[in-house]
Parts: sequence; C-alpha cells; structure tokens
Amino acid sequence: MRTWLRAGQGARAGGGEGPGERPERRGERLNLRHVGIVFVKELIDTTRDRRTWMAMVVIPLLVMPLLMLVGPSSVQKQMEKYQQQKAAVGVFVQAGGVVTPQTAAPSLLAALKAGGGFDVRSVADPAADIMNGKVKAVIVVSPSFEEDLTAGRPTPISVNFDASDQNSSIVSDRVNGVVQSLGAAVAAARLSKRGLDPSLVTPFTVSTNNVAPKEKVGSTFMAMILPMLFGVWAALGGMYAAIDAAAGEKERGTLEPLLASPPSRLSLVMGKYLVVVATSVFAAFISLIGLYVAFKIKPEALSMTGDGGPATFALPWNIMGLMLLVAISLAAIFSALQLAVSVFARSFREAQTYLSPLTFLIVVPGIMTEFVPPSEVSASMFYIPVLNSLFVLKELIMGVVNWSHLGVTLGTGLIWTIVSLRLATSLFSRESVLFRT
Amino acid sequence: MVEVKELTKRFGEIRAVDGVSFECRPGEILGLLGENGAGKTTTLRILSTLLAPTSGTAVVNGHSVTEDPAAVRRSIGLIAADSGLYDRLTPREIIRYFGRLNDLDEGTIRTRTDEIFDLLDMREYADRRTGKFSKGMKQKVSIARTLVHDPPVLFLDEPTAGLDVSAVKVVDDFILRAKGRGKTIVFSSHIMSEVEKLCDRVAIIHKGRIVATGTIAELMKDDVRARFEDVFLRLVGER
Repeated sequence: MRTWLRAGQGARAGGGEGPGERPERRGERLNLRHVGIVFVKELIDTTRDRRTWMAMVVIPLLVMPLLMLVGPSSVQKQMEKYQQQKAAVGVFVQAGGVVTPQTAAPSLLAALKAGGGFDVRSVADPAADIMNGKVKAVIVVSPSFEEDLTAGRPTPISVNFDASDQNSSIVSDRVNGVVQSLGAAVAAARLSKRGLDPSLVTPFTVSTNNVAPKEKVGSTFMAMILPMLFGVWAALGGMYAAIDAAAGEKERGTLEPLLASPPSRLSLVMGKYLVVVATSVFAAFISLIGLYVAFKIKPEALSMTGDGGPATFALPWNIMGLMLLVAISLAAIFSALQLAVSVFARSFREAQTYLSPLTFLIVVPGIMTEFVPPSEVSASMFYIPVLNSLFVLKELIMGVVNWSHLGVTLGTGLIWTIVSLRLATSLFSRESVLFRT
Repeated sequence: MVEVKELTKRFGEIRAVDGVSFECRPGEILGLLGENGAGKTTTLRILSTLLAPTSGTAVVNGHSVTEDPAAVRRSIGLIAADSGLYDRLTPREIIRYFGRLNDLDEGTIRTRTDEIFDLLDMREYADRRTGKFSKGMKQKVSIARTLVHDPPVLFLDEPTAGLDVSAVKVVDDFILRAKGRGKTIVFSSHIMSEVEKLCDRVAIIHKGRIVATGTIAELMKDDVRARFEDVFLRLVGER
C-alpha cells in the first residue's frame, strides 16, 4: 500500500514546479504514527458532532423499523379498508332501453345484496360513472340475462373497472367473486334439477401449503431488502465525517495550520480516510441492529405473502463476518470518493451539494439487485463494482457462500479503492484544490 | 533565520509574488507591509510549504522549502490570516494534537501546555470546547497551538485582524516575548502603526514585488515628511 501511494506522490513531485504542484520531496512518506494521531483526533472530533450521530446511529437504527412497521402496514390498512367497506357498484343493462336491472337481472342483484358490502347504484354510462368516481365497478348484463339463466343458455356478463385505480381493482375482484359464486350456484341448481350431484363437476379440492421452513421465508425477504439498506449505510454512513474532515477544515480555517505541521499530506489524508471508513462500517452494523429490533417487534413483517405464518431470520456469525468484509470493501471505495469530493469543496454546504449525486451510485444498483435472485446473475456481473457487493450480500443473506464471487468482488473492490484513494490523495496535494477561491 | 531569494509564484498569468528577496535573522521581527492582495499571504504560504514556488529559493532555519519541506514544517509556527480552531475540541486537546503532530512526547506536551496556559492566562477555559469562545480567546488558543513545539521561526499573517484592543495587546506581547527569546519572526500586516510599533525592519511589498527594505528610520531618512504613511504611499505610488 505504501509503495503505490508513494509512487503517486513521487510522480507528481517529480513533475516539476508548475502551478498546482506541491513541494513533496524525499522523506515525505506515510508515517503510521501520524496516521494514528490524525485518526484519533478526527474520531473524537466527529463523535462530538451531533450530525455524525444522526447519520451514523440514529437514522440507521430507526429507518428499518420505521420502513418495515409503518410502511407496509399503512398500505395494508388502506387495502383492508376497501376490502371491508361498502363499495359503490352499478349494474347496467346493455342496450336495455327501458329495461331496468331490477327486471333484467334480479338474481344478480339479490346475490350482490346477499354478498354484503355493496352499495348498488343505478348508472347511466358505465365508463363515465367509473371514471368520475360515482361507482368503483359496473357489471354489464344483457337484457335477456334472467331469461338466459332460466333457459340454461350462457349469457354474457362483463365487469368494468378502472385499472389505474387500485381501489377499483380491489372492488372488481370482489364483484367477480360474487358473479363466480352465483354462476356456481346456478350450475349446481341445474345439475340437481337433472338428478346429478353437483360435486361431479368439481373433480378437485385444491389447497396450497407452504413447505419452506420459516428461516427460508425470512431470508428470501431479507435478501430482497437488506443488501440495499445495508449497502447504503456502508457506502454513505461516513459522509458527515468526510465532509467535516476536509471541507470542514477549510471552512473553519484549520486547514492551513494543519498543513504547516510536520506530517506529510499522505499521512493526514490516510488518518482522515480511515475515520470515514470506520464511521461507514459502524453505521452499516447499526442498521443491522435496527433490523433486528424491527423483527423483534413485528416478526410477521418478514413474511412476504403473509400466509407463510411468522417467518424467522438469523445471521450466523461467519456470515456476519463475511458481510463485514463486503461492508468494508464498499466503505473503502466510497469513503475515498467522499473525501476527494470534500477536499475539492470550499465549504460544508458545497460539499453536501457535490456529494448528493453519489447516493445514486449505491441506490441505483441497489434497486437493480432487489428483484434479481443471485442464482440468475451471470459471473461477469461480479466484476461490476458496487453491484457485485450488493449481489454478494444477497447471497450471504440467503446463506450462500460463493468464494469465487466473494473473491472477485473483494478483489475488484480493492482495485477501485486504490483508484479512488489515489484520486483523494492527489487532490489533497494540489494547491489549486486546497486553496480554491 | 529566513532567507528568501528571487521568489516567484505564478497563478496562471498572474504573478502573485514576483522576484521577492529578503532576510530575517534570529531575534528580529521583519514586517511584511503591503495592501490587500499585495502578495503577503502567498509569500508566507510558500515559506510554510503550503504552496510551491514557481521559481526562486527560500531557506527556513537552514532547510530549503522545496528540498526538505518536512524539516521546514518542524521549524515553524504559523498563524494564518483567518486561522480557526476545532470547535468541538478544548484548547488542551487542540494543543495536544499539534504537540503530537510535531512528534513531542506526552510528558513534554503536558509541561509545555501548562506553561503556555499560565503564560497566556487561559487556565480558566483550558478544558472548555472552543466553539463559543470570543475572538480574543480563540487567538490565544492559536498562539498556544503555535508555541507548543517551541519553533525557532514564526510566520504570522495579519495575526491581529479583527481583534479588539486587549486581544491585540496579547498578540503584541506574545510577539515581543518571542523576539526576546531569539525567534525569527516574519509578520505581515497592512496596518502601518502596527508595523512601526513591533518591527525592527520592514519590507514593503506591492503587486508581488518588494519596493523597499530597511528599518523605519532608514525608509524615512530621505523624506522630509514626518509620517510613515506618506512614505509608504510614495513608495507604492511610484510603481
């Protein structure tokens, strides 16, 4: 590590006396004691900042419980509300003229009434009345509906709804249910009338059983959401520390005295860098704790379908250890990038502005990986930085340890870390960046 | 000892410092006097190894700023124009940090810190975070930070800017005491009276060039007018 970093410094130092160059000469190398001094000071400084605690502990700890407990249940409540509430529906007689639903389809109206939960209204124009919200669904029948039923002829029936309105979809499902059971009742009556047992036409009694163990159900769900949430904190949890360590020094006017002290700039950058990495990894693990808390409070949130019963989820220590490695790898890349951006910025606020697009670098791959099972990912995808980390996290959460995926991911991670760290150290050696006005 | 020869710094087309030469000996205070933008800060930044010169040489305490910047940094204390402090640290912690960065052992840092706190009368707030300090208190902490490793050379870039009368007195006393202890002090200012009050010799800098060097008496020698301001304006106006 020393060698490549020094090579970078040396190359610039040897590059002559042009503007933007710094007088780095022999003897200006990485001094681990100086790195340690800067690390300790930055750690104390950053942990005394309320913003760091918000970004590093409070938000990672709370975001999962809130997302899991408030998010899905409020959507669920809304859906339940429409499933139970009286829904306005209409029955319309196709080309009926003066024929009213009451005369054309009394058995359908009776079925709707018996089904409960419907408020049947008269409609003049099915499409218009659905779109203007007067009714949520309209059953359109032919004028000869009742006659067809009695005569044993098939009769057309259509359920109209607004697919762009979720509530209309729910109501149309319920209406379909009523229509289906009315159909079954009519069919059964017809068979009985002919002296046949209605069960003749229901050869199967179907039931579905979930055989997956509770842990498996839990880990599938976790594999969907956890890589992104864990990855976001690993990548961005140290953002405030990074802003404070470089742009913050400029803004407070502490940068010049620091640069005029004996340690090489390389030592200064490395000390600051390691604090940003540590903060990020810490935030990622705090987010895991938040997740455990969420599932302690509401274990059923783990089950995607809800009919699998309460699912459970546990991470063995060896998996946690490997997740830590992936988190460090992600943090290593992002911390260097954040420090590079931060040293370029003139002030705290400017750094925040410049750093916000970095969020996309983790969130977009996060969304991309969310719905893709790792078994369907081609090996070449594991060469793409960030994306590979998220896929490996997904594998690990599902209990899969694929050493070649892990190796490629950590290996490419190291390369990207070196690239971004060289960017950060080179910016820290540029006077045009340090003294930007 | 500070020796500056033909120092030049270009930023693109602009020559911020243009062939500047001067000397400052131990026990001497050299005033770098000039208007805003004259090149004072750039010069002091080069001498502190924060900026690399485009050409020319500068030797600080026997070390070249281009050949051995780390050795230069070990020999200097810098108070920059708008030097700040770490708001969330206490004076004691800040001083310890700079002591450690200067490779002092913990025992020395403790002894020096106590001496400095007594000297600058800052025991009372030595363990309070600096965030809410007054400008005067902050400047004392900056001075303390600069003194911890007892550097032979001090660079002070407008150290009294924005301070009230009693705080200015603290800085003046500090400068004169440092001179008494044989420090080499380069002091920049745009305030005539300050330079007249403190400096043994003056280098007047204008648009990146030194237009005159000497004691105040020497600079005023051929001038019938009695005020130093008029001498300054004449020297600067000639260019």
